[in-house]
Amino acid sequence: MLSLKNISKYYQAGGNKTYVLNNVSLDVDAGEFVSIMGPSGSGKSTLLNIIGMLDEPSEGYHYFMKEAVHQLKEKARSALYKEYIGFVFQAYHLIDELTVYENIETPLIYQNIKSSERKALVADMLDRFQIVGKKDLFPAQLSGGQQQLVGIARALITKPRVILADEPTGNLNSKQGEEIMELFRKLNKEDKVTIIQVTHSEKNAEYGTRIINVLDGKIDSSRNV
Amino acid sequence: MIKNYFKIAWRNLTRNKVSSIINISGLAIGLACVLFIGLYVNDELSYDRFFKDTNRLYRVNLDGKMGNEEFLLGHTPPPVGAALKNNFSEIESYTRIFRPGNEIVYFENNGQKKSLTEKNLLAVDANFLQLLSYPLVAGNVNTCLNGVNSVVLTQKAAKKYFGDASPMGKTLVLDEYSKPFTVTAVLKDLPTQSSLQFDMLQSTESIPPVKRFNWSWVWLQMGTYVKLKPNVASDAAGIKRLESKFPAMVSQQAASAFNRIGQPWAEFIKKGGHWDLHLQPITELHLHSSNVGTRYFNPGDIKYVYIFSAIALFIILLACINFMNLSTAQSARRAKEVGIRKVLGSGRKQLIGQFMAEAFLYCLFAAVIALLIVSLALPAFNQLSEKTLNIGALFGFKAIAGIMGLIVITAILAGSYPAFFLTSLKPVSILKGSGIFKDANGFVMRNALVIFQFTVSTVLIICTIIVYKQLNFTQTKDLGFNKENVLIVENAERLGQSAESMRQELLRLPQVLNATISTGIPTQNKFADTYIPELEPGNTKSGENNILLSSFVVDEAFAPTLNLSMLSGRNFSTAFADSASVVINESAARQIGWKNPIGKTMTYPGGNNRQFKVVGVVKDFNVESLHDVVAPFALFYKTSKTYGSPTSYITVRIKPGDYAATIAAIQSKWKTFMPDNPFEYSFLDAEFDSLYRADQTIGKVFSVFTFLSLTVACLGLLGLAIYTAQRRTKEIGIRKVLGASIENVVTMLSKDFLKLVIIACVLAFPIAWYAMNKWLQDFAYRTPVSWWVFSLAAGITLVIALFTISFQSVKAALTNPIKSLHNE
Ligand SMILES: Nc1ncnc2c1ncn2[C@@H]1O[C@H](COP(=O)(O)OP(=O)(O)OP(=O)(O)O)[C@@H](O)[C@H]1O
Ligand SMILES: [Mg+2]
Repeated sequence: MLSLKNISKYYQAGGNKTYVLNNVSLDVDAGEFVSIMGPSGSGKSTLLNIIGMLDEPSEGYHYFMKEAVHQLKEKARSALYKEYIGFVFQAYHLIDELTVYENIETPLIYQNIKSSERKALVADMLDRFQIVGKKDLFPAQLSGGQQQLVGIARALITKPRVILADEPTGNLNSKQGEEIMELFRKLNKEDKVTIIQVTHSEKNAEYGTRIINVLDGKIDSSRNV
Repeated sequence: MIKNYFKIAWRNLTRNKVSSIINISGLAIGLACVLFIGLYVNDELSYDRFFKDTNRLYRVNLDGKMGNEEFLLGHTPPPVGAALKNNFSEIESYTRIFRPGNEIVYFENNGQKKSLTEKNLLAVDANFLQLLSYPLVAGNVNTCLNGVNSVVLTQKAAKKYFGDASPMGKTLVLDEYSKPFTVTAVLKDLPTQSSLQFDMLQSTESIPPVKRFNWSWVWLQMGTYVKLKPNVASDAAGIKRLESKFPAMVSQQAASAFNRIGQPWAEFIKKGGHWDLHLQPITELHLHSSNVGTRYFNPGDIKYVYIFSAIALFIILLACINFMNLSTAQSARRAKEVGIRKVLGSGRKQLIGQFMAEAFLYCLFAAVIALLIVSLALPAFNQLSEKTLNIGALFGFKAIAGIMGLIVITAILAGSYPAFFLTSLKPVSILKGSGIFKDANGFVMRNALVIFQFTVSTVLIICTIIVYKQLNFTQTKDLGFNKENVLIVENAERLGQSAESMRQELLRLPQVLNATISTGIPTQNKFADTYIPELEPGNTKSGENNILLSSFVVDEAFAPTLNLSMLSGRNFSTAFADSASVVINESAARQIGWKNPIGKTMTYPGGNNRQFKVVGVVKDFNVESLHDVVAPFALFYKTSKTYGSPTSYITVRIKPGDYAATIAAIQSKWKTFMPDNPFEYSFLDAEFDSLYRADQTIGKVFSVFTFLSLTVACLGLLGLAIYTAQRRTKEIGIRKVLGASIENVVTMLSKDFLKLVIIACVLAFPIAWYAMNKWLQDFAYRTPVSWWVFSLAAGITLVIALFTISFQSVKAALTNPIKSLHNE
């Protein structure tokens, strides 16, 4: 499904390079559910961003669905993730000017889906996350946990083949967190959606089929569950 | 998708009320200015385009040099029209015009005998209305001007003389003619976009001097218009070729006339003289003939069309800059949206579309408001610009297309920078971490734009101050005489022999300090001709020794009445026989080269070579506006009979105070001499003022647009100040907790903006200095461009900017720190 070969990411800080990712190689097959763990600042989000093509590595090769991402132009890259990837952010990143309903609807607009169809899909999603009552509120009017739910709903609405989630349950209570994990597991099992999540919780990591430990910009260990 | 764009745009517009109001009102002011100036410019450009076959109509100009004098005139000698038509098949027809003086018109209205002075009379050839097709409401265009005693009135004039009764066939008696004139046609009131303006037409056949000078090629009092054949008019090269054939024709036709005035043609040419005819399209007369002398109309000036267009462009640019600045200032917030949208699959094009839709929406609102402003303020603008612009002009097909175009262009101008700037950001740089995003480029760009805005505003302020300073200068400069409290009684020539008795009667009035009879007064009716001065011994100046002298014929009371000051010699006096005396001004003495002018003589070849002896030199005084240098000037005594003048004036110096009573007293004296003649008067200072009408209009229009541009710039500054204060609320809160005083905070917030405004002032100085020096070139006498003007302008700009900013800074500084920290 995707493959990183000798990926490095560094920042130039006063003459010397600070490596955030150092010579990382990683292969993820279709249908895997990968949990990435590691201490804060170890480079987990950076790794996820590179996988999701939001960030470019300083060095290395990156293949996604057999396409050489490192050779693609921005337009082609955005076409790729538009088609295959759903993103859940650590900091939610909802659009402040849009209501809950519209935030969830937006990816569908960019996929040129008809308005009647969009309505049905969004209604479905609101139901599934039990936020129908909140659909006309703006992000500022929601709690952190509710915003996170909207962010997840928005990522799932396009039925992506790959979900990249950066601490999707960080702001949820443990019950909500479990529900999301169950949902992820179901998507992974039944719909064969590939999932890569970053998490600090050992328990949530166990939902995955593989757990990767990142330490100081390197993959420290990788084990199948 | 489009619908979605507008939904989001609308949401943004209503959510950020302050910046929306600032953006929309700025754009509305900008667009309103463009619409006003557009109407003005459109009006200026549409002069003389309503005639049938306008593009085939040309005026004949004369580019001449005789002796030392060179001139370019919209006047020609009388035979030019016929000579052109007879010699060149390219010319289909010609017509001529002549401006007679004022006439007293006697008429009967409702059985009552009345009289009025007609000041707007034009004498024209019989075919005038066939070439210049001013529309008729009654009468026959082909025959109405045939008879010697026919007149054609405009509707306005017909109403003036005959009220609502039909004027056709009625008669008017003109003072100078014994036979009454019959009204043969009525013209629709002339469009304001006609260069020529007149109320009454009579035939040139009835004008004695026109007939008398029919032979002359040097009597330059007639306007000649020609109509070219269609195939010639459409071919610029053909017209050039036609003009190149003129000189041969002129030398052949004009030779005998030149001989007759003692200037054999060959010799005239040899001395460097020339007498060239040119054709100028009638459509260019209004805007492109300010260098061509004419007494038929006051041309406009293309320069002001350019200046106003530039101002319109700058103001709309300032408003667009507000939009750019406020959008990019809010880019931290907008950037997050852009980043998320990109991750959610939006292409760059779609994002650009979204930002442009937003700009377009703003412009649309602004345009609606601008149209409202224009329709409400048009009467005021008309008064200001002395135009009769019509709001209807904005609703033609072309105008609507133009306005739509304007909206789109403005939207592109305002929206493209934010659109391209924001959408070029990489999502990861925006979304990483908490989404805080630094925009260093945007900061620099914003500062540059603010500087630009205030530079433009400061330049305009300086220009306005200097225009007014110059206008004030024209009113207060020492003109060499005292123009205050001087009343002019016009039409004094009608008094004939009794003028002097009238003057004596006036002197007896207690309110009258002095009175004089003269053929001309400053601003009016000078007569220019060539004289040959005697050479001072030892002066071996070679070459032509003529001098062109303008002059009045006056009595001994002229100099004291106007308070002219004699530099040497004496004024005319009844104690001497002054019929062969002349008083000259300093400039004349200087130009002739006389070190000691008193006692010198000069010969007048135009007046039987009579000799005049200089008895006095008067300090230079301005006979014309300060646009012109004081020319060599002479005063002749009333008994000299050097030349005849059809007009004369009684000029009265009166005591200040109750002018109405004084005027009434003078009028009653006039009535005892001239019971049937209207009493017409004016004040000398008002006459001088009227010479600067155009300049005053420019001044007023300038100050209004300056005010508007400053408003727009300040709106932008206000927006940025609000935004900065908002962004720094947390910082301000922390600083206050740490002990910063309100002054510290206000200074911190205001300092950066004031720096920009100061830079703008410094940039504005050289630009304004250059522009104003150029403008002042139009005046021979000009106010200095003093340093205080620049300090004043800078002061005004700074104070207004400071006020705008501090309003917001103080508010931010006063906010309770706990509150702002809590909210973060
Ligand atoms: N623009 C940048 N310049 C320099 N260093 C950066 C920049 N962006 C990120 N880093 C560094 O890269 C490292 C990895 O960041 P990353 O966000 O990937 O960590 P993380 O593992 O996701 O941490 P957390 O668990 O706290 O989310 C951090 O040490 C951070 O300081
Ligand atoms: Mg992270």
